[in-house]
Amino acid sequence: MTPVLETRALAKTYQSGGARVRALDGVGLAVERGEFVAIMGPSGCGKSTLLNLLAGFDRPSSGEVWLGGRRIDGLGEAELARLRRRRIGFVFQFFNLLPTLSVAENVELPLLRAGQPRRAARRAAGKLLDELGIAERRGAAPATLSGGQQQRVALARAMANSPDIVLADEPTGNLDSEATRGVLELLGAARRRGQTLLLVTHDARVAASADRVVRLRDGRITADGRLAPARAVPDPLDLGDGG
Amino acid sequence: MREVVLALLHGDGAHGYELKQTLDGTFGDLLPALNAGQIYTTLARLTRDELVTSEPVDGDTRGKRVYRLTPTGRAVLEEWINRPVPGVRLKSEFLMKLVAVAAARLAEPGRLIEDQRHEYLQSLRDLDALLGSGRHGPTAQLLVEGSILHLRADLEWLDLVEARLVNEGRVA
Amino acid sequence: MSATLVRLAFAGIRSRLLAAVLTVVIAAAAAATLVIALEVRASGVDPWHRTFAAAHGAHVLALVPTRADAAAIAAMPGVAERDDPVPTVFTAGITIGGGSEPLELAGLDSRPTINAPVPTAGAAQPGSGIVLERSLAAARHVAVGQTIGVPTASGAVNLTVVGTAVLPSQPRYPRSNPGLGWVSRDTLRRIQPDEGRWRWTQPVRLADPAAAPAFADAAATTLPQAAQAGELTVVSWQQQRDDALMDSEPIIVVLGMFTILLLTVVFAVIAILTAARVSAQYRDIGLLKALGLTPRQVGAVFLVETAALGLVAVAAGFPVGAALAPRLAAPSAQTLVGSPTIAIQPWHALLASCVVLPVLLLSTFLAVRRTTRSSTLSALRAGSPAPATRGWLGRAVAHAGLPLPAVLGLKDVLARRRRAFWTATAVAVTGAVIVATLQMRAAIRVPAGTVSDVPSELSTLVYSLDAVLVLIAGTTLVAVMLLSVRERVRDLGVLKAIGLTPAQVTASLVSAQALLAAVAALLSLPLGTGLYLALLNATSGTVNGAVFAPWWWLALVPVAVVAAVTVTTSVPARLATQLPVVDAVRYE
Repeated sequence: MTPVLETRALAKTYQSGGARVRALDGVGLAVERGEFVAIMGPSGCGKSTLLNLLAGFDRPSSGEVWLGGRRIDGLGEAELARLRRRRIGFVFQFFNLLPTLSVAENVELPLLRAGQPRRAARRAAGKLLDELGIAERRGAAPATLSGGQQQRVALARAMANSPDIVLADEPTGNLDSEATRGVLELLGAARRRGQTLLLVTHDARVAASADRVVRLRDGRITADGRLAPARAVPDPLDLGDGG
Repeated sequence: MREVVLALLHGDGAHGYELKQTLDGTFGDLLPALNAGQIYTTLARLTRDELVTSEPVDGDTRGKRVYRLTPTGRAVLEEWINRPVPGVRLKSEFLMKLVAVAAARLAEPGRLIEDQRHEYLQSLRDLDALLGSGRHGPTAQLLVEGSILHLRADLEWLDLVEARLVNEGRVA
Repeated sequence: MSATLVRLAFAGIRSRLLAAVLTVVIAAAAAATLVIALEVRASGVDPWHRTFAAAHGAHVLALVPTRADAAAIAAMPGVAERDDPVPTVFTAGITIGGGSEPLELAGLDSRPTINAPVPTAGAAQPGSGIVLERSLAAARHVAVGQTIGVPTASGAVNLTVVGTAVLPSQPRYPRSNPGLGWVSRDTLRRIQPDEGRWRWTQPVRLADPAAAPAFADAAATTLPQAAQAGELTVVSWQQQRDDALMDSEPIIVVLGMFTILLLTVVFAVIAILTAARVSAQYRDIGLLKALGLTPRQVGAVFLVETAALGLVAVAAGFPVGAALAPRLAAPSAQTLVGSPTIAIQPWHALLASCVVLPVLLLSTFLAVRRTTRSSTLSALRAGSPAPATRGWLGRAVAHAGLPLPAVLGLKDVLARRRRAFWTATAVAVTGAVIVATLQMRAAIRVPAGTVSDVPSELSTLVYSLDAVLVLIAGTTLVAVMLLSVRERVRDLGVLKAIGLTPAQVTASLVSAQALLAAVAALLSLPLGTGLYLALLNATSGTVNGAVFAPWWWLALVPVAVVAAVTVTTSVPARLATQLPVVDAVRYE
C-alpha cells in the first residue's frame, strides 16, 4: 500500500550566522495511513525541520517528499496551499494563532475555508473547544490566553476540518497532565477515525501512546520501533515496590 | 509494615480482626489481600520487641486480644512520623548491566540503551492503560502516576547516558 | 538618567531613519507654509510705508463732486498740509490691451505735492500721452510706448503710454476696479469738455496722522448733502494701507489652511508610525528589563525623539518659507515701491515652533500614553491588535456574506482600529485638498481676454501646495502600506499554512486597504467641497455664485486614490506571500 507520507534521502542545510548547519542528513521515512508516529530526539536533531518539510513549509536542500503518492517538494506556494487545505492540519510549536481573530474564529477558519456554512462551523468549533476544556474562552483574544490554552486552540484549529494528516510540533509542551490527557484522548479519537498522526514530542507519555516511535539524532534516524498494545501489569500491586 | 500497624493501633488499640479490616479498607488495592496469619505474625513480632502489648478481651471465649501501644511503641511511632522517607536511592539495575556488558564487550551499549528505552516506553503505555481502565481507586492511581513519572525520569536519564556515551566514548 | 534617555532617543531615530525623515519632511512643509503666511503678512507693510513716503501720501483722501466741496475739506480743522484737488473723469469704452473697458482718468499738469504718483517706468508726467497705474499695465499687458484708444467728445484718440506709476491709495487692478491712469488737464478736457461732470480728489495731510479715521468721519458732517447723495468718499491712510494689503489675504488664508491640513497629516503619520514602534518596542521585554527603564521613561524617550525631529523640521522649513515668501508677496508688490523686503524675522521661526512642536508632541504623547500605565503586562498588550468580534462593525463584516479572504482582511483592518482611523484621515485630508483644488480650478476659469480677479499667484500657489501635499501623502501612504504588510508577514504565513493560496492572502490584504481608502476618498468629496466653500467665504465674504467642478472630475479622486492604494499594497503583499511558510512565521 502506498505510504501516505514518505521521504527519500531528505536533507536540509541552513546557513546560520556564517556556519552551515546540516539539520537533516538523508532521512528516509515512510508512514502508512492511520499510523500514529511520535518523533523524538534531543534538541537540534532536526525534528521540527522534518515536520516543516513534510508540510511543505520549507523546501529541502536535496531529497524527495511524497504526500499521498504525489511528490510535493517542487511544487509552488499556491499548489502547496491547496494541498494543505485538503489534507494537512498543522500545530505549530509556538501556536501562531491569528491575533486579529478571536479564539473561536481561529478554530472556525479551516472550516470556513472548506466552504462550510457559518453556523455549522461555529458548532463544530465549539465542540472541539469543549473537548479540550477551553470553551469558556471562545470569545477572547488569543493573546490573553495562557500558553497551555493557546496550545489547545492551535490543536483545535489543526483538527477542526478532520484532515487526513495531522502534523504537530510539541502539542503538549505547555500542558499539565490533566490537559495532556485531554489532548491524547482527542488524538486517539482522530486515530480511530483513520487520520494519520505525526507528532514531534519530548513528552515520553505522549510518545508512549503512539504506535511507532522514531528517534532522530543529528539529522538522522537512529531508531524506529513499534510499540505493542498495553500488556497486563501485575495486579494487585505490591506496596513494597520502591515507594 | 511494622510502623503502619503501629499507626493503626494508635489510640484505644484494636483487635487483630479489626486491624485486618482497617488495613484492607484503608489501603484497598495497594496491598495484596492480607491473610490473618500475616497480621498476627507482625503483631507477635511487635509484642516481642515490646512496642505493643496485648490483653485478653473481657468475656471473650475465642482468645481475642486487644493490642495497644507501649510507651516505647509510641516513641517509635513518633519518630517514624517525623522522619521523612529517605530520598537518596542509589540503585540501578540497568546501569549495572550496562557497565558490565560494556566492560566485557558483550553487546553494543547503544543497542542496550535503545532496548531499555523501548521497554520503558512500553511500560508507560501499560501503566497509562491501567489508569485509563478505571478499575482502581484514587490511592492506587496515585501510585501508578508516581511510577509513570519515575519512568519519564528514567527515560530522560537514558538520554543523558546516551549523550555521555557519545561524548566520552564510554560509560565506565 | 536623562543622558541615557537622550542617547536612546537618538538611537531610536537612527534605527528608524525612514520614518524619521518622513516625519521631518512633513513637519518642515507645515512649518514652511506657516512661515510663508507670516512673512507674506509682514512683508507688505514696510514697502507700503515706503511707497507712502515716496508719494508723500495723503493722510486723508476725499473724493467729492465739486471744487467747492474739495475746498471745504481742505479747510477743515486738523489739516496741516493741503494741495490742489485733482480732477478725475470716469471714462468708459477705452480700448486697452486688446479689450475694452472703463478707466478712471486723473488730470495732472504738474507733479502734486501730496499723493504724487511714484514713477516705476518711463516718464513721470503724462504730457500728451498717458501714464498708467502699474498693476493695470501689467494685467493688460501694456508696455511703455504702446497706445491705448480713448473716446473723446470729438471721436477716439490714441494716447501713447509714456510711463507707469504706483500710488499708495490705489489698490491692485483688477481687484480695484476701474483702473487708474494719468493724463494732462488738456487731454482730460478733450475727453470730457464739461467740467461740471468732473469729480475732484482732495488730498490732505494732518497734524496728527493717527486721527485720520476721526477726520474721515468728520468730513461727512462737513458735506452733509454730498454724503447723503452718496457722492462723498473719504479714505484714511490706515484704510489705504489695509486695502493695498488685501491682496495678500487670499494667499494668507490658503497658506493658513494648508498649514492646518499638513499638520493634520503629520499628526496622523506620527500617530501611525509611533504607535507601531511602541508596540514593537514593547514586545521586547528584555530591552526594558535590561535597561531598567520604567514604561514612563520609555515614553519620555519617544517624546525627546519627536522634539528633536520637530526642531530639525522647523529649522529646515523656516529658510524655505522665508525664501519663498517674497514670490508670493508679489501681488501686493505690484502696487508698491521696490521689491518686498524679505522680512526675515527670527521670531517667525519661534512662532512656527510653537505651532508645529505641540502638534508633534501631542500625537506622540497620545501614541505612548499607554506606556504610562504601571503594569508592564498591560503596556505589552496595548498596541497589539485586538479582535473586533464584539463591535457592531465586526459583526456586520461577519454576516455580510463576503468571500473568506475579504472577511479576513476586513477583520484585520478593524483589529488595528487606530491605525485604520489615522490612515483614513490622511487619505481623506489629501483627497479633500485635491477636491477643493478641482473646485477652485473650475471657479477661476475665466473667459479668454478678461482678467481674473484672483491673482495668478494664488492658483500657482494652490497647485504647488497641492503637489507638495500629494507627494507627501503619497509617500506616507506607501510607507504606511509597507509597514502594514511588514507587520503582518507572520500572519500571512499562518494563513498559507492553513491552506489559503498566496493569491487569496494577497487579496485579503489589498481588498481591505482598498475598501478603507475608498471610504476615506468618498468622504473627501464633501469634505473638499466644504473646504472650497470655506476658502471662498474667507476671501470674498460670500458663497453665493460658487461655481462647482463637473462630477466626472471629482469622481476621478476616489478612483485614483483606490488605484494608488491597491498598487502600493499589492506589490509588497505579493512579495510577502511568496515567502516559504517556515520563513514567514519566524518574523517578529
